[in-house]
Amino acid sequence: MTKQAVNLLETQAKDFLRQILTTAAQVDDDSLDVLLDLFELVSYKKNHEIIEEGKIADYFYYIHKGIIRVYFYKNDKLVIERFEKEGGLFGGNFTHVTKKPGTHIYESVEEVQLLRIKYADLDELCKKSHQIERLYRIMMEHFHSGYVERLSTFKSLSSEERYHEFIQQYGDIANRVSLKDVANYLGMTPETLSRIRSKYDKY
Amino acid sequence: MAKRNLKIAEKPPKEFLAETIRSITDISEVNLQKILDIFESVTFDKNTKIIKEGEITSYVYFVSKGIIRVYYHSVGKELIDWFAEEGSFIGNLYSHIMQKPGFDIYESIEDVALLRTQYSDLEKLFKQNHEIESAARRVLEQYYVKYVERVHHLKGLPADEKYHLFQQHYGEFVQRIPLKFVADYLGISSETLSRIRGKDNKKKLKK
Repeated sequence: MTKQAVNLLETQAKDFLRQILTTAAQVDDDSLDVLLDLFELVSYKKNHEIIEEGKIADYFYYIHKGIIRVYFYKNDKLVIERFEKEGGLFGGNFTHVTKKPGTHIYESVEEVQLLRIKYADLDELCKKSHQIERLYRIMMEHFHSGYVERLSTFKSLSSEERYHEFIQQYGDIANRVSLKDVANYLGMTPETLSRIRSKYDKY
Repeated sequence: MAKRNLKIAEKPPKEFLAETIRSITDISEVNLQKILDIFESVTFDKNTKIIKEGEITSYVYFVSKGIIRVYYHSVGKELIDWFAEEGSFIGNLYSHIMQKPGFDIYESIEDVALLRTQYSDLEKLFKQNHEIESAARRVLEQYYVKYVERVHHLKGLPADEKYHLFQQHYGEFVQRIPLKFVADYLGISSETLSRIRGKDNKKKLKK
């Protein structure tokens, strides 16, 4: 990509992010400009570990394009905690707060374009600007509510119901993520998932 | 996670709340007092539903004494989300933010003493005061850290390891939670849990 194309993409991505932020809280344009200036565009190829295991995350990310999966290892088994797609936010499960090495891995499932901001810069800005502090607090609450909703609707549903919920919550992700990963996330075998899918597709 | 100090619960509720906030964030005493001022004390008997299913909560609570079980109904079953012990904040943030009825039920499993305030009063304070807003954000971060840890603990582990992590996390509180609730929370049968506990006791005796 040429420098010009990158700049254009960054501007587009920031426009989207601006929209998301202004729906979440009332912030004046000047404060928002200062915040958006701190974001930079980064692109990664498919299967790239954006946040590695054992690291403390330095950045907070917004997904402009692509899908990532968030997973960890338990007893040498890979467990997928969740997926995030366009419009989603992620930031290393608060390792920047706990200062403990992260247990989760954030990896691109497709080629991704992200906006990222350094936590240190965000923190600094929050100290200076009450409006941004407020916005950050509200975004965090929304993020957490979404997380809770996704997990809670999941516990103890039957396999079919879980798949149905997954489609409801994630939309087109189901076709962009491997069957194996979806099955892992839903806690079922790929065979069970295939069976449910073929039944589901008939309707 | 450090085991909680039971002595702390014997302190006056507002002093306990002040200490909890101070341990999470730097805040001036003047602003801390402003937060404390909008909280009031309430007590509930054992087995009281403090927040009901389908309710949009207007309160946020601080648990100064007792344990609360947070659960919900799904496909005819009762599922336990977590146990809020002394020093925890509760409030169905989800229903408040989304302005949708919550699915969680908050029920005391012992007699409990709580402090509570209206979300709207808290939000007024946040709006007026930058330092209080920052403190709130840090308290929320801690709350989320715990939440993420709980989820992480429970996913993909065999039953006995789940129970041992649970013990580590809740410390002496485990003794105060009925076996059936612990089993529900861990997603295992009461029989399996009894078996794990029996094995652990044998190991202890050998030592």
